[in-house]
Amino acid sequence: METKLLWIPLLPFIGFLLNGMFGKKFGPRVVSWIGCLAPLGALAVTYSSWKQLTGVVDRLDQVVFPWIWLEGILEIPFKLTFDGLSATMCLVITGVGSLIHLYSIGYMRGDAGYHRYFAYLNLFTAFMLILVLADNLLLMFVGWEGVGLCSYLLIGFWFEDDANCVAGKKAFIVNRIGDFGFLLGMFLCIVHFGSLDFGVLTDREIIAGVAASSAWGMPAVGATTLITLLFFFGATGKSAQIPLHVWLPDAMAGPTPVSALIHAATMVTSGIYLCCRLMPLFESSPVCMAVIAGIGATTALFAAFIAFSQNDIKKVLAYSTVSQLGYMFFAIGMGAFSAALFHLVTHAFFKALLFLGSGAVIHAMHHEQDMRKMGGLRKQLPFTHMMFLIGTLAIAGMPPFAGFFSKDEILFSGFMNAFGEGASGQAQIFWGISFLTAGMTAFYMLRCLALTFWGESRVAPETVNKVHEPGGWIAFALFALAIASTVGGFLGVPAILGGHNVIGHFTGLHVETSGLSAAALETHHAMEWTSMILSLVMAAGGLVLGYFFYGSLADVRKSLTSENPIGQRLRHLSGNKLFVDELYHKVVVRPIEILSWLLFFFIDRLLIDWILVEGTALVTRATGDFFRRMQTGFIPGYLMTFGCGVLVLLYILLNILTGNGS
Amino acid sequence: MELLISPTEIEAILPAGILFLTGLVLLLVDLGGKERADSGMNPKNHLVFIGCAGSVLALMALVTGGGSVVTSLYAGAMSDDAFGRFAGALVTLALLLTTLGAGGYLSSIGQNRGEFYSLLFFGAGAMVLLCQATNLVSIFVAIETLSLSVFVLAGYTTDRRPSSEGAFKYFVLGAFSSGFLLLGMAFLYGVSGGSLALSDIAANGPQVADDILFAVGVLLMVIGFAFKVGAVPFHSWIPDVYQGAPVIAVGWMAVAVKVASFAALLRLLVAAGGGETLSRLIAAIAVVTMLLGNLAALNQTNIKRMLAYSGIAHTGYLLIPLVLGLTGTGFESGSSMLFYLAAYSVTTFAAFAVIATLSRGQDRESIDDLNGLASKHPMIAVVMTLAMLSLAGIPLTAGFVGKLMIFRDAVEGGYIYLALIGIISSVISVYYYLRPVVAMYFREATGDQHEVEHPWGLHLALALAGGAILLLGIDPQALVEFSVESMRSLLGG
Repeated sequence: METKLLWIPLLPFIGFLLNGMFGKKFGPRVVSWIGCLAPLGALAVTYSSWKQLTGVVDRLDQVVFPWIWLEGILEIPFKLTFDGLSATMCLVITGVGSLIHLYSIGYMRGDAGYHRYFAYLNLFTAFMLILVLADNLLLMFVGWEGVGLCSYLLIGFWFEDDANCVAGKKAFIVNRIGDFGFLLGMFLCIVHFGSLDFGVLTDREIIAGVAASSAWGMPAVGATTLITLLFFFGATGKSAQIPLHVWLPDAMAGPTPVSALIHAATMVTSGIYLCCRLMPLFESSPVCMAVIAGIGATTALFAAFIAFSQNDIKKVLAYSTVSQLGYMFFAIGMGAFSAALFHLVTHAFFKALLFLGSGAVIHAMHHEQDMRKMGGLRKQLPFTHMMFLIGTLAIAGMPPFAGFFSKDEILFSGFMNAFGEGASGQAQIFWGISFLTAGMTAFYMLRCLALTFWGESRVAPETVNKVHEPGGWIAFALFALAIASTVGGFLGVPAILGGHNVIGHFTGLHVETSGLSAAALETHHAMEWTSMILSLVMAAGGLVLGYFFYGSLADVRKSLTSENPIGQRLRHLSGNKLFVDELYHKVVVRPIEILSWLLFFFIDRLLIDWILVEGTALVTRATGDFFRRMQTGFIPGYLMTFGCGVLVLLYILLNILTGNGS
Repeated sequence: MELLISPTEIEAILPAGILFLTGLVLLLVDLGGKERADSGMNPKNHLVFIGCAGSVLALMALVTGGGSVVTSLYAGAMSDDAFGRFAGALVTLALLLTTLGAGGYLSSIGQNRGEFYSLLFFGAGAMVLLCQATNLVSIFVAIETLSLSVFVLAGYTTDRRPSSEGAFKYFVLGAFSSGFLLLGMAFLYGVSGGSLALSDIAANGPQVADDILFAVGVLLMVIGFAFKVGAVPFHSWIPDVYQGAPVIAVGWMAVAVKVASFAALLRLLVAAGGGETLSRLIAAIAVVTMLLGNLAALNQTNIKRMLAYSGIAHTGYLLIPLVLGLTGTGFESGSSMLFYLAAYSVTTFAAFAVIATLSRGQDRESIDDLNGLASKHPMIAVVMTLAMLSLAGIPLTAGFVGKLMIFRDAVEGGYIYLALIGIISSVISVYYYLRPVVAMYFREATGDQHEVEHPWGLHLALALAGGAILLLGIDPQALVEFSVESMRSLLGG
């Protein structure tokens, strides 16, 4: 079948080339046109390709060129694949991405690096699309590294400020640590599967064969367990999970639309995508699944806890993202890949909405991000407030907003694991954590909303009159995302509410329940109702608690956090992000700094520079000088050399010959 | 009626004949011109044109003729094979480039006289003959003819003391070395049962491989050639002569003499053999030559002297295929030598031609004279950079491919230590090859040293040489195959 898959990443790449090379000459008008038409074009191609996916044709393939070709040893084509999973990701990336590009026209207006910004954003889109369209791990890794690069470039976009560059570097380096796991995982795939092709890596028969063998050189560990753990380690880097979550909050140094696109909706979800893509492989290792569930639930809880006391509006959203990503990994660990992907999609909608909403606030406040200097903005920014409110309700999991359906599915899968057949105490703890986190999420988001928009105004007097509603593209993007956040959940309405899991079936990640007997199905449904009501109560509780604590009961909150010793300590921990950065600095950064200084001085400076390099140079030059001086310029000397040469050669020749002959 | 000279014999000697004739025509044409006071300053484009026409004709005669391998023409004095034609074509190409550059350069130093061109062409004719010679006497006559021409060219600028001094040293040492060459020939004549033909020596060689007289004869002849190509310890003349001679003549000598001498030496050793013993001696010479050439070049401030030592070092690399050939592995590696000679020719010529563009009144030959050249004349700086990178053996240049071939042969032939020493000395050489590049790009020009009007011929020659360096570096396949074929013709014939 005729496909034009290559155009999906190619269009943004062309946009990058044009804006990157000629953007300065084009002027902002043309730059905006090119910059926005590129992802919109990609969206159009994605849409038409998606239309080609019928029930009969469930995937499109396009081999662009044979890439790495060692006949019979390792054959890696530059091949793109468009199936349900890729299609969903592509639609999110190009759809949400296009809106954020449009939003940026308003947000970045007048910036000196306008064309550079759009070039980077296009390049990011191109790499992200390669990441999700890739048919093998290596090509995926190209996208994986590419988005990391763009993330680095965009975090440090305003590079005049040192702090932004430091944040960019931190993101890049932490990501590289994760990439190390990804690379090792790929190497092991070559060793055990002899291929990096997703077709091979997801073939359950082949996996069963590999799972039985032990990992290369390590008899105690199963091969697939090690491979999946390494890939998961890679995913923790990209998707900001414990222990590599530290970069994401700092990444907020970039422009806010970048935070929305890269650090909320798309790039940070590539870890989830990787797990979904390799679902059969992950499923073959219960150990790894348990690790993923544990890390996911823990991250969700910790990040939500830290989000409690952040004063920077973007930092709250950043920790919220970390927490929600933790949710998705928790779902994967519970085997609910479909729920994870569903939450990925709805999260892309409402988190982009929240970020862009916060961007509108920041824009209106002239780059003020501290919520302590906001408050009461509802009166001046009624539209933005409305949008932000929708986002908050969606993330808190209130029906009928998008977050309700996806979060419900995750919590239900956790509930099933914890209290259904074959339940384990471990799963109960994980469910408890994620259940608690649902309430915490609602609470901190309401706090964020209340501090920003409600109550007394704490805005600085000189800016209070300049606060204005956003117009044009900013409003349009917010509105479009608000609609998506409202109705996006209907992609996966649970059966008990008379719905149909569209997204789960489309992506092929859904686990069928139709095989159950009538009685089992009834229990199943009963449990689903229980879970849904429980999580709804939890979320509503969080919202109500937040509403009162940041409204009429503010005194109670203050006495709890400033007078109660436990409250004080918790607040201290939360406010300092659990001291993870400090811990890393002491345990990892300092020793490396000391070691590298020692290596620098003794190995590099002393041994290599002074002894080896300069010493060798000295000896060589001295020898050269000696030969140069031998050249005296007098014919007798030359004749002497000549004659001696002849004599020596003749002597050796005769010596050898007579020695041999007689 | 029976002809005295057969058509194949005419075809064989045609290229050399064209060159000798062109030399005569050039001499006559310039004699006919009116002697004016400024005649040395005149570019004399007509001489350049005649010279180019003559060398192109000779080149065509070399490339088109010689369909079959014919040995023992002129009673065994010369042969007509692809090998001789390949080497001859290299010489003629160098001649073409030199002639192109000569007019502008010589007029810039005020010494543009017809005899320079005729000397070039007489020498070139002798060199082409040397490449084809298969008989001791014809080899000797060709060598002496080319030497005479080169001696005079070295001392061409008679008003400059270093030029005359260099030429005199060259002459005295050259006469000395000719003695050894002749003595070696006498030995060979004796052991081969009174025959002068190389083929007879080849026929008699194997039976008397251990014969002391035979071995000494071959060694003495090798020494004679080693002097011509500048192998240590017979290299002493090179730095002085190169420094003294006009730079365009140096380019010619460095390229053509080496090509022709190596071709003849290769032919001699293929015919005579010499066995393990001689191979070990040549290996020792190669090692010393590579190291001494590169080390002595390190601290030179005069670029002509630096290139002189660099030429010595390259002689060392070029000796490696001979070492391999004399052992059991056979002379197939001679094709690497042929390719290396081609790469070395264009590269070395380019380097000397760049120095020629700087000259005004006399040679500007200090490395400092290159300071800031890149900003004034970027294209010339690019060619010089290409030449230096190629001499150093950096990839994407002709020199890299040449070195790669020779060192690969050495490793495959079991002479890993030769390859290692070659590589180490190449690394050392990068230091001094990059010095002109640094000067051109990273230093400021002082004074007016680059305010020179550049003649068209020199520019064309530079462009051709620079293009060839790149072409051979990027797509060497055609020439590699050609040199393999040529070598096969020598071994098969």
